[in-house]
Amino acid sequence: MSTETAAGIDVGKIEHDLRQLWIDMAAAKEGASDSPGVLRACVQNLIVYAPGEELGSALAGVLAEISAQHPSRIFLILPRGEDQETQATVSAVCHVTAGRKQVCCEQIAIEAGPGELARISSVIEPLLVSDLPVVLWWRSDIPFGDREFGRLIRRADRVILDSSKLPAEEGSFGQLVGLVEAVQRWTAFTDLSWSALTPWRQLLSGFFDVPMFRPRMELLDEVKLEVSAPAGAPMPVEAKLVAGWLATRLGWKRQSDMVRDGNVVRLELAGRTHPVRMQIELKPDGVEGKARLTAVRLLASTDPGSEFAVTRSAGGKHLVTSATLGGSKQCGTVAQFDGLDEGRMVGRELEILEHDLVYETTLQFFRT
Amino acid sequence: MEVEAFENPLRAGIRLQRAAEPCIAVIFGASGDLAKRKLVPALYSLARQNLLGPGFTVLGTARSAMSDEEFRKVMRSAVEEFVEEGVGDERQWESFASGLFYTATDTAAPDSYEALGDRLKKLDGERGAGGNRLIYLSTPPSQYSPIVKCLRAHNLHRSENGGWIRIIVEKPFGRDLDSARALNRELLEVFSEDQIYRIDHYLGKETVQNIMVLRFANMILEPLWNRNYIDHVQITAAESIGVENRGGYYETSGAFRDMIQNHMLQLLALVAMEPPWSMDAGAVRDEKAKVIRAARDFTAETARQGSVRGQYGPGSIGGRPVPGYRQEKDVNPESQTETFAAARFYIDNWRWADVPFYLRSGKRLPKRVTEIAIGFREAPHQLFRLSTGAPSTVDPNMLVMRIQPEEGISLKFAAKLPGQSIQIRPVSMDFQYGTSFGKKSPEAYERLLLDAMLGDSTLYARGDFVEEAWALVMPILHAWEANEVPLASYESGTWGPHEADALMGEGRRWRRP
Repeated sequence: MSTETAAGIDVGKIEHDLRQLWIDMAAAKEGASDSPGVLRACVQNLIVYAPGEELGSALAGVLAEISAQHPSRIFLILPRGEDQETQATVSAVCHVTAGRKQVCCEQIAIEAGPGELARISSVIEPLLVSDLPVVLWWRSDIPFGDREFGRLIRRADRVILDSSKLPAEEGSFGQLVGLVEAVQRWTAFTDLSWSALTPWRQLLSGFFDVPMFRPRMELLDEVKLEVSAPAGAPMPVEAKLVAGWLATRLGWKRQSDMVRDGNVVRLELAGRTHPVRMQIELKPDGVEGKARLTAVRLLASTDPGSEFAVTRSAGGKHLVTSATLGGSKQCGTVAQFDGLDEGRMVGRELEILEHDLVYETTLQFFRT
Repeated sequence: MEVEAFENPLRAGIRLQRAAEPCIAVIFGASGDLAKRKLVPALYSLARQNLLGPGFTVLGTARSAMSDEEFRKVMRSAVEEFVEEGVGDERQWESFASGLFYTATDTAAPDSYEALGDRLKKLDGERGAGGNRLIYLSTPPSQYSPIVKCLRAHNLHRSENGGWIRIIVEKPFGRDLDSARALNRELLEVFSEDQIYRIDHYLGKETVQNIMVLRFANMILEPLWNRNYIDHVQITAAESIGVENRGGYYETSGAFRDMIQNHMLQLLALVAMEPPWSMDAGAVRDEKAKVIRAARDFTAETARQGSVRGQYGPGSIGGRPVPGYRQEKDVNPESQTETFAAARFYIDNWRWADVPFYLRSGKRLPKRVTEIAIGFREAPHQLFRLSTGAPSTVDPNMLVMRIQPEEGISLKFAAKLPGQSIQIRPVSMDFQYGTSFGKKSPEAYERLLLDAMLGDSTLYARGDFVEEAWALVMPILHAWEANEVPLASYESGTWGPHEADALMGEGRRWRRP
């Protein structure tokens, strides 16, 4: 169902089309005894800002996957050029459950030029389903300072973004910190780059669940991160986040800025009882593409031969833990590093309704 | 022994679920059905979620001889059969399987326990389990006492290097009050109550845990949750299958011991309990124990009048003819074992005085369903009339919590049919887990095993509850043993004997799930 208007987007028509959608679906099922009934479900409003996407693109599959876990009223915002038509299309996103029930939710795709985009929040607001959370998934660069972006964020209970999309220049992380701080009171943030680190953090923290390893936590004074990156690549956000996480959780304070020397970035910190050195080494792998964290090693110089390490396997599909105490290797584990696809990752994030205080504290580490 | 909790600062935050400390899970009866179908598959699933620490070890034991390699092969087949994704990633399986070991033990051969102790010590050193042990008795109940005695005789009930030791026992916890007390006594001679985890896998089900969330996270229900608004509560646990190849065991048990005395009384307690002051195990289990203590004792008379037992005869299920219970394998052709049981309970306290709780469970009923239905009282004055002028008959409201399958909650209420006149029909407001949350719920055993390793006994039955539950139902079992309640027959594929309808009395009926 499509609503086209030269004068902008007709909210009333969208509402009519939403009602008609369910009437038509019910009518289509009537008398079809062998097909499952249609169930409408909705647990949230999901606003997706997706420049460069088209209706029916791969994003449709991602949204279908998300809907299967979190049935939503989806607002898909597709920016267009000034000379392109503005239109809003209402459709159903359905999946069949194991119990042969067809569960459907609604999608409102809005293709809009710059003029309409500047007022998009006023189109979405009356269409939001009452009493349900609003999630904004921003699949693009973060337009710090943009008023409409600010309006959308203020309406959202949760914002999903990806800090790897931040501009490479210094200070952009600081802007992200500022943004999160400014809206913290009413909006929680999900950073997909941070989410991707969950298996790393799970395995690193797992070392210190072992009673035998616990005393070493206080002795740690050296952290080595290894990143596989194309030559000349900027320091990847993953490494920064791990560094910030370790520092903030273990109470280490920054004593210097991050200093880059060729392919190595160094940072000096003050632990509770001793200095701590952090080093991030970029290892050019000659492969085009995203930089990837490949190893995190925790060492204590006063406990020679002891190391706690999580490393990514050569094929990239596993994370391998190893603990060595006084030169003697202890039990390790192998975890599948499933590199979740976008749909599953966002689906997992949508299970979280509260603020991720550990993330927010980690960002604080980079406050300038 | 209370284990001091260590706060790992790296584990803080909402994304990192609490993982278990390394331990050795000693599974007695490791060659048996439960270990293959539930325990090892659950442990592997936990390992895949990175919830078991490095060094997690399984030491399986049973009477039969087996090498470590053979045990790993058997467990691999079990995982392939009983885990939805099978083994999945090979490297991950190899990592898990490298922690699986086996040693044979026999309570009649003390040397075997000496060998068990030596193996545990060696594995502790090699695997870094820190002396932590989770002992799982996945054996017939007759073996519990000999095993526990052997553990004590060989000092295996204590950890040498300050770790924790916990023991999980499966139901049935005894066959009656005396045997339940004896079992508890024997366990408590060796372990303290906080080391004993009596598993009731119903408590690990997502929707059973949701009962507490529904009641205590929502303000709107609690003011109605009492005798002023609730007319009755009915709890149904129905199966469409018969005894299949468990006839030999079922002949010694019956529906009442198998379901009502344990699982269903736990559900009753969750529905009837007062809000606990905290969600810690002690607080929750205290409130549940209070419910059982407040339950009205049965006299010989009320046990006869307030209970029904039945046995399925031949019939049809899903269009297929099925035999009667007495024609099943390993069942006595003149068996008096009930395959259907129903009873009426009362809780004598301010909240529930005179509100009947009806519990029923049976095999070869039309479908598999477990649900709790809260029947509210009728409106005090009927405003609406039929076209004949007679008062409109409006079904009272009913809140149904469906435990399985299609977990969810529904509320039945009256609504006006669109039209000129006021015609009232019942409608249902539904919440279903499967449609609202597309994520698969964890298996009950995954949750329960992890909780035991974390030292959280909230979802386990406490000794006093078990004994009080037995004490409560003994008059019914005595009346049945004395044949004071006839064993009624019912056709397979029906909802049980007609006598169960009479149990409800005037004005009430069993809900058709």
